Amino acid sequence: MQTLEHVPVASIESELSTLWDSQLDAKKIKACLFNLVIYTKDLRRIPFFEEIIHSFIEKYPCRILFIQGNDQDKDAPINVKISNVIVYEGDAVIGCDQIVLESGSNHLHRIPFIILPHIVPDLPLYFLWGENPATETSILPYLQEYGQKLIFDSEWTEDLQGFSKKVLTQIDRLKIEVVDFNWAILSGWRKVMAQTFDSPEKIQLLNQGATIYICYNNKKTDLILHTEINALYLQAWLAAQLGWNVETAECQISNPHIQYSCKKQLIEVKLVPQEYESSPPGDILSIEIYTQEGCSIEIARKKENPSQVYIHIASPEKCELPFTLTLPNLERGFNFINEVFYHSPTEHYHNMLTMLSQTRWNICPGGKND
Amino acid sequence: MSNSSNSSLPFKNPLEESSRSSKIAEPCILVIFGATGDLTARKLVPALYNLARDGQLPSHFACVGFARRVKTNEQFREEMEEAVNQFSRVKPVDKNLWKNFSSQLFYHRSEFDDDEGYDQLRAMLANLDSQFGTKGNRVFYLSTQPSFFPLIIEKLKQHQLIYPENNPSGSWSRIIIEKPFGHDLNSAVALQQEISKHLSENQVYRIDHYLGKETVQNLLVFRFANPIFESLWNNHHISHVQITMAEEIGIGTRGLFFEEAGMLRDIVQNHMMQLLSLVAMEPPTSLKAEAIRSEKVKVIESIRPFPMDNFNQFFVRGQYGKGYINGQEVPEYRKENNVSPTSKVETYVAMELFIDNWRWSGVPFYLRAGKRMPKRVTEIAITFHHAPGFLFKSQGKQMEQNILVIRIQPDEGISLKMNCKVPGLTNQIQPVKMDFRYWSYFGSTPPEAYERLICDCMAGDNTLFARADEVIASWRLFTPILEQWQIRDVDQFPNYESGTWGPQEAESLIEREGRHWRLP
Repeated sequence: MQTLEHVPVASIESELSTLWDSQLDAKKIKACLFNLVIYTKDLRRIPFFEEIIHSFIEKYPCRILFIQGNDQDKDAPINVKISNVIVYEGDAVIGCDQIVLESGSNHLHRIPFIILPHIVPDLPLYFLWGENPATETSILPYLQEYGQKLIFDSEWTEDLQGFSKKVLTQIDRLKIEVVDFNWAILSGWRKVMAQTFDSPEKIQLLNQGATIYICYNNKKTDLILHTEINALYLQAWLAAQLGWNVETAECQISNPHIQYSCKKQLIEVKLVPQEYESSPPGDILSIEIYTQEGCSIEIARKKENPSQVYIHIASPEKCELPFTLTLPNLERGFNFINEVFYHSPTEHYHNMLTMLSQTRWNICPGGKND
Repeated sequence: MSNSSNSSLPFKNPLEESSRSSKIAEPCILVIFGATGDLTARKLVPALYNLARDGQLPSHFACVGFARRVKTNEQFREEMEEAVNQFSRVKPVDKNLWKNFSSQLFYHRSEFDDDEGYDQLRAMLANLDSQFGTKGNRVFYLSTQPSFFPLIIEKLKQHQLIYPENNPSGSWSRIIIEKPFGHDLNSAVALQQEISKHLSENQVYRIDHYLGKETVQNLLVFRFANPIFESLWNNHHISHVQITMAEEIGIGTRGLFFEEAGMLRDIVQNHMMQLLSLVAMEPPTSLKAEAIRSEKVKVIESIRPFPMDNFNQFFVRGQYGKGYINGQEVPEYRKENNVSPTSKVETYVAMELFIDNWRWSGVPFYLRAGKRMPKRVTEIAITFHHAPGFLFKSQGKQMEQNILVIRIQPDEGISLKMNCKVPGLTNQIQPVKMDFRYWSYFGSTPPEAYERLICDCMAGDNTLFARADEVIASWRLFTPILEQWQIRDVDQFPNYESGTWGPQEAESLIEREGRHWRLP
């Protein structure tokens, strides 16, 4: 990848062409399936988004317009960096364009006007938003009418209840389809749960009173601080889809514990933080369910192959043979692309937010436990 | 949210996001008849493995290989692991995944006509149902010689392994039948009659792996999701259509089979007719299987029958002689293994046909399929009419026609040839090509056709499988040709060299209209 810094705004396209032409003498193809505008003001999260881009761009080349706001140096001038990203080298070289716009927060209002001429026409425009899309006012309001879908990252939130309420009330206000990044990441687990509980009898196991342990990877990094969000999402989705009512929630970080009721039966959900180096932060590691009737259901990632989930259901009368399911789309980038291209938010997401909005979820500020 | 287990309504899983997955393979046991054959090792088990790898196999699944050779489960698993290592699109085998996948693989030895073998199979499947939770659902994959199809189906029925379509217990049984479906009209009708004694049409999945190819499926999307092309897709704008299915390989080890089949039965009657019907069909009323398949049948039924008194005007057959492929000398067909030295079997077919409906009236379709051609290529080329008038006519020559080429394999993609002004002070015109290549956008390892088709069958979707009337219509068209070839044995074989684009007669067939075969 070749990069040019401090490119004059008026020369972005011509410099991109020059850069491309100056590269290898091989057969070159510039590919672009869509435009992707990424925005974050949290400089620590830039590598996180870069990692996402890296994970899908080989399969889905696109024009990347990455806005990096700077709250620490509010007056920092706008700096444009351009790159030709080589996504494939074989018989031919396939590449795509990346335009990075660094800007102090006082200049962010100029960004939409810089971006607009550089959106490749006739191709979809997607937004990957590292800020709250409901409250961000400098950029999105000016660009959203040109876009098709907005994916945001709920990692920034520290008040999940307030966040859920806000998204629920404002989701309709935004003019484009909205997708939650953490919801996308959970798609594999939701599928596994639906495949595991695939009959009225098995659903009944969950509803007749149970204790559910959801283990998640609490290994925090500079990029991901709120590791419990996926686990909270997963249990809220289950509760919403199965029609449980919140009774009490004690969301102490050391041992979050939620009680639901379903037709007078008590269902307890306990989130269990564990630390694993080999698994991405926040990942769900296992779900264990113990029913009042003495059934146990164990759903756990295989240590030797985390893309597979081992499922074992046993009751006092019968012990089923364990079986394995595959967790598709482990990589964050592929989840993102999958959501962008192929899925619209379903009512399940709406139901989950409604459930989350009923309780105060105590997410630790900045991800620190004490 | 009601989850009542005693409800008489069909179960709707509250955890299932229906809009997310269009197809859900249902729990089942897949039984492969002829499990020691090439197809199982090269295609079927690698396809199942890849489905497992991608999380597309049902959560409750098992596979049983049924064949005549003595073998243990372990031996069968070992052989299949080797096969997956060799033939899977993703290699090498993931050991952990294989360990789990292979625990779902079993082998059952029996003759195809042995009643006891079927009784044992039934007991084995019942046992596997309780082990794997496969709910009594069955897919029987008949990967045997076609002569065994009626026998196997009859035995399955006799031993209660096939259920009625609307089985009160809710369990279902489906049968996948490999091609060829009959060897002429009479045999296809007879086979269909046998099958329909025991199975309804919705339980029969006649596989044509061409329909499982991504680019073939894309034909529907390309035509009906892009109105710009669909509005030009008729005799007002299209001069003619060429469909080419060329292979550089000969018949290899398939001598015995090919001597019985020939190119018309092996490729044209099925794969080529599928491509033709997808190119020429009217828009279906929906994307449901029946809507699409009905439109495809209409195309085949609208093909003008070949005139038997001078069918050579419209139909050319050929057989390859010796020649060179990639610079290497290759033998003539008659010197291949298990081929008669006086064989009259065709390895090349070319034809001109017309579809007598409003859309295609007067538009010739030129089809050719051959072995030992200069390269492997399957493509559909739509040639548009010349531009009217003589605005840019130079030196008495007309401009090049626009050609839209849909490449099915290899290097899948779509290109459009158009005319462009050469920069400069004169009005010189040069044809240029806009080229879209799948691999440059979507990578180069799409799912294998068998993955898609097996998954569809497990999900109960028969859109990409041939319907009985479709197959029969195709045989009705070509059986008279086969009969004429039997009667009028006048062709001098071999009549084209290996490594060339076919016999001279094929050139003459298209040249009389002032056209030429494309150089693919």
